[in-house]
Amino acid sequence: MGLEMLIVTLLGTASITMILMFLPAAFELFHPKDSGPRLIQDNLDLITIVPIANIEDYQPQAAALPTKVSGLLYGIANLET
Amino acid sequence: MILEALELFFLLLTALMFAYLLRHYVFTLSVLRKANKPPEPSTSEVSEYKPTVTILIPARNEERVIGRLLQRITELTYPKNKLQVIVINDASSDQTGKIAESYRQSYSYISVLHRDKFTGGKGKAAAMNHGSSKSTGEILLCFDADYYPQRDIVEKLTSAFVDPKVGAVQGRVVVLNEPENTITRLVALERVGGYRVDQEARDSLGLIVQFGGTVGGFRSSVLKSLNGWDETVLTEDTDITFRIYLAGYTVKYDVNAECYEEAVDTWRAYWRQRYRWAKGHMQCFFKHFWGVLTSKKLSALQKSDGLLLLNVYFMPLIVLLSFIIGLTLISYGITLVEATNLTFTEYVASAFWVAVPISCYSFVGNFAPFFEVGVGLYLDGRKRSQWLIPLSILTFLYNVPICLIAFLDVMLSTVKGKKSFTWEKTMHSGNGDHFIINQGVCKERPLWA
Repeated sequence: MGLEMLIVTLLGTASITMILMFLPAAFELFHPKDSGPRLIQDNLDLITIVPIANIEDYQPQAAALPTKVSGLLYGIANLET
Repeated sequence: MILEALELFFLLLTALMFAYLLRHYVFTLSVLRKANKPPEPSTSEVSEYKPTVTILIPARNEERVIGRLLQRITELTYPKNKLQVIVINDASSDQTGKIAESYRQSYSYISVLHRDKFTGGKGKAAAMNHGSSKSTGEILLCFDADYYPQRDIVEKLTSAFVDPKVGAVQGRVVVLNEPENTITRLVALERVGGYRVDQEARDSLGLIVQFGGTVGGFRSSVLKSLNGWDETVLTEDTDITFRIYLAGYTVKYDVNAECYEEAVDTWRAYWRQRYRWAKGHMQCFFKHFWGVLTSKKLSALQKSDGLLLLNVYFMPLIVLLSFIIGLTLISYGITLVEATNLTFTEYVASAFWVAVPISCYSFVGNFAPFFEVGVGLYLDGRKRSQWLIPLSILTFLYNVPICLIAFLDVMLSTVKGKKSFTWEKTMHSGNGDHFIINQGVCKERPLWA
């Protein structure tokens, strides 16, 4: 392989590598889909998502109370008639 | 003889580049490993620790951004009875002083120090020394005027000082105006590499965490014992980092303490900023090289990391030099082959071809920081931004003449016996405003916009 051929091969390979390397960057620059900015992470420690508790799961006696009260009220209403 | 000396020198430069390559990979892998572990819960000691804090805000001609920061300061969640805010109006010729005064009148914990054109304008270190002389807080935090901190940043930064060995703390810098143009996007990549990976790795590996001059702070007693900032050094932040470590204290890094900056948005502004950083870093190299090397307070790993950190702005020059020497070795080899009529096999076997893979390596090896940026983006949940990573070579190439001229300037000044440099201020346009408003952080259009 002559020196000229070697130089041509090296330059050709370098050019193709450069194009392959920079093509995605050109895509993102001209059609940005992830240009930021990073969202301001504000008070993340203070924001906690509290799950809505199901009272019947951990306090069955307390859950039964409204039923008892409503039954009592129902009986009071019947006294009038 | 000259050729052998060149080859030896070439190998030394390559060894140095290999050290950086290794360092980048170790940092990246360490951060990846840490990311897979659950975060450590904070102790009650940390959550109950509420020291008095002084926030220093040096400002010189910052009328476009100072109101934004001061408004944000009033929204901080830290108890206001433990907060003192000092704005240092450093001989501004615009409305900076007036805007700061309007906040001082409304908020008792904000005060303003006005430096006139005779006493002021001598650089950030001088302004900070003036401000710290009036401070009363146990902890001293610093914010540049173009920054926009998280509301609970003071709690996050001060929590590190529960440990008495901690002399300073650093938070994460995030680019606010990233979508603005190509330059701001490239600066954002640099910041991700530096603050999401580099600093965090240094912290978790117990190496040298660099105080970045803003979004961080000091234990006041430590700063006083070190006689404050050195006004003759252009990068007072790097200088104080090394002085803290050499005094036996450490610097902690909190990746969750985020502050949003307005990055430079023109190549000219980029040049001016990096030129100052390069010169200052080189000053620090000559000032601290021997101290770091011989220190009894630093471990062997800290010493090697510290020396690599001090040397970092020489790297573009070292890469340039290795290219020049590599090309010289190759061209000399070709000449020799042609003159002696060697066969192709002998030509390939020629010792000079050693220069080819090493030259290739010096190019590829410099992609290690880009690997770091890629992992940083991945950890931040960014996807298509990774496509921009190859463009980082542009900023690296741009840094070659910056560092070369800075090096010549430092050398010339040393020969002339000049001890201080003019402080080139980075101008801020206020372009970050609409990125804050668009994110809905402010419920209504703020006064500063």
